[in-house]
Amino acid sequence: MVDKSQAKALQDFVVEAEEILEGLAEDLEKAQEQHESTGKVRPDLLNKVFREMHSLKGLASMFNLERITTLSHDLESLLDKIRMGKVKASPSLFGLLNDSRVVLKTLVSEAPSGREEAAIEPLLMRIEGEVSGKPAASPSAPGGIALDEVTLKSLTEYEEHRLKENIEEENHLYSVQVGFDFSDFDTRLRALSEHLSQSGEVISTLPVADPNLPPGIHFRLLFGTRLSQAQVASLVADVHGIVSDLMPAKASAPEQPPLEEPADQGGAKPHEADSEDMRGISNTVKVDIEKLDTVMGIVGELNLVKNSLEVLATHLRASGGQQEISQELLKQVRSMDKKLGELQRAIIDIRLVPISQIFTRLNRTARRLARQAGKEVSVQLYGGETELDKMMMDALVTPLIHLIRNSIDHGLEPPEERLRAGKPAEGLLAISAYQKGNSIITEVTDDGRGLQIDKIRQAALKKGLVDAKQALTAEECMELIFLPGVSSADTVTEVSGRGVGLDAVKADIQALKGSIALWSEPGKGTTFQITLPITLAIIQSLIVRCCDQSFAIPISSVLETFRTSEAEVQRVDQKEVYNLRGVTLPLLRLEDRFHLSRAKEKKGDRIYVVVARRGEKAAGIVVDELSGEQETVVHPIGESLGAVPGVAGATEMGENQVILVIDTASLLSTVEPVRV
Amino acid sequence: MKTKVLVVEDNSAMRSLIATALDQHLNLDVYEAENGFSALKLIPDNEFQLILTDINMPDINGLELITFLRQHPVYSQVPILIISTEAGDEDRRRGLAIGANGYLTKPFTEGQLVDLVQQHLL
Repeated sequence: MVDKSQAKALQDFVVEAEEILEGLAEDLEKAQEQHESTGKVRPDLLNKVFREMHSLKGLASMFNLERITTLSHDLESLLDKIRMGKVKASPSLFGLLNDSRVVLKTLVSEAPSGREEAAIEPLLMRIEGEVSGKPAASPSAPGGIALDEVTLKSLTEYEEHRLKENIEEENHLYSVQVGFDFSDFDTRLRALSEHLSQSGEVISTLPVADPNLPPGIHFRLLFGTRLSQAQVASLVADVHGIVSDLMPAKASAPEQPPLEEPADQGGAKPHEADSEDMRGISNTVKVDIEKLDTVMGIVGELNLVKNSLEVLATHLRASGGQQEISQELLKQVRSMDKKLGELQRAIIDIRLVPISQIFTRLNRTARRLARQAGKEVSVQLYGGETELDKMMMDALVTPLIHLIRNSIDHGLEPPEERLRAGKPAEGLLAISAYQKGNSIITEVTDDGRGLQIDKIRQAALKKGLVDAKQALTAEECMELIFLPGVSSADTVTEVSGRGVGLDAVKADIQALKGSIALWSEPGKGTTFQITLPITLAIIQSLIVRCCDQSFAIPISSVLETFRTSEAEVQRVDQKEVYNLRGVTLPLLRLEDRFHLSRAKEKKGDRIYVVVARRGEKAAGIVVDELSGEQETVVHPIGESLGAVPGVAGATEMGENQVILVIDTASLLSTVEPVRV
Repeated sequence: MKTKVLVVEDNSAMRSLIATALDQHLNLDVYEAENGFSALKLIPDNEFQLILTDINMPDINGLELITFLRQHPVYSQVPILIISTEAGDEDRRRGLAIGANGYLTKPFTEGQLVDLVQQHLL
């Protein structure tokens, strides 16, 4: 639309365009710095860069400046994809943006002369290259957030994307309502936004026109942050901001006191209509896991009540009176038993969450570690839908990060070394999860150099953990890296670089009643495999009897059971062993471990052996009888017994009986388990 | 008295192009706001008969401004026109859904601008 005063208008254009490009240069530099140091760019900065390009394009198009329009148009689309999370920022991308900026500057300076000579085709092709081949991020609906319709509808596509990202990152979302005097609202609101941005993201700023509000001008900010409601309230206290939680279900933590209304309203009043036009988009609630534990405890108590009822009914029937009633009572008790079982299962089901909840975090950590280590790593995640007890999943994060760090630092080679070995420069790190029976398997696999067995062995020798004469299989050598001495930084790490604190990982996993194993092939890579029970709240147990007492042994740690006789028990170095298919299986007796005494001498010499595993090795537990399997809810026991090695907790049996659940890992620590 | 209109656009060259065209061709009294905040300051003291706004702006965006205007007792019926771009078609759609009356897509000609504004001022 430029014709008459074209020269003057073009001059205006150049001034404005140069200003935009200067701003762009500054912001790109900042963005690149952020990307280099943290691996990401703050969303508000990315959005600013996008807006600058957007302005330039709009402006150039009005002046029919074809090349600037074309180039800035393509750059605008690219930047839009970046701010929407569809294309990832990368060093090559910043290179492209900077090169483009330089060409745009030349084109702008050429504009008054009516020529546009700088070539843009190579840049257009590079932009095309960045945009194509990148999978679009799958859109996710904003769920679980109570946001009023008016605010929701006034979000731009970009703001909606930021909202989803905040939800994805499990940030809290708050609505902050503030009122200002008309004279200086802009400076005060900007100051507030900047203040808030230091600890979160102001996603949108909506001016509120409501005649019921006091004079002045009011705004509702949509704020995503890690802070609690009380913390946000204190941030906005001096401007009398009113904070409401848009994800109230998340705020179940008791440390957040109800928001107090400031005594002096200072021009702002809560928006009365808010609660009415709020709507929940999702039909899920988040529950504190402790509440579930309480419910589980009540179910356990109900089980005891049911057992008492059963005993009463049995007595009633045995006494011969009220046959019909006692029959009916027993029937009802059995039906109650069934329902209680279902209830228990349903509660456990609530505790299970998909492991994808931690995958995002692991992925981010892996990328950051790879960058720090100067390695190129492709992180692949499999089986995100696998469900695991929430508490266990949270406890799994630290050991997994440890394994990831280990793979990146020591397993995966630097790009040059990989190329020399005929591998792609980019290393592979896969984290996968799947269910196998009642266990959840999580694996961390890399295609790096593998464990250097000789060096591990040397380190173990140096530490005196193995005998120089001892012949160890490759597998046994690998096991050595889980020993505390071998994993110290001054041994293995320095020379071969493997095994930093893997003993800590093993301890963490064992605390979760799990086990860890590893496979490694020189030059090919290493896999760490963690096996965990689905939940700690309920386990399938083998009930055994010894000295007229019952004990529960978690099935997950039982490899096999067999019947034999005392005559088959052999002695080696004062220790009892059993020859199991040629393997000398060490034995231990429950009566010795728990100092049980027999009321009467045992008849016959029949015994049962439970082959229990500890990690990849096993030992035999000698008992009098096996009395079947049972699903048991493990309750922690009082502090007086808490420290007893070999005891994991207690569980209820019928007839008001409470029995001990055996912790095989600590029980077996008194013998030397062997591979079977 | 001339008809008052408001142009909200953070790009000054673009803003003055629009203002000049509307002044010259339609003899309107054109007020310029460089962002949503300036617009909010001008709105209460001037009864604008039409508002043109960009969507992508710092501080408060065009959609938020439109939402505000539609709730405002004086501006609930005043024509609002969106200055949008090809890339911003989703946001333009959202703007129309919350009460904008029409739009222009950059690049537009003087004629298109004048026609659209005239159409909504009648």
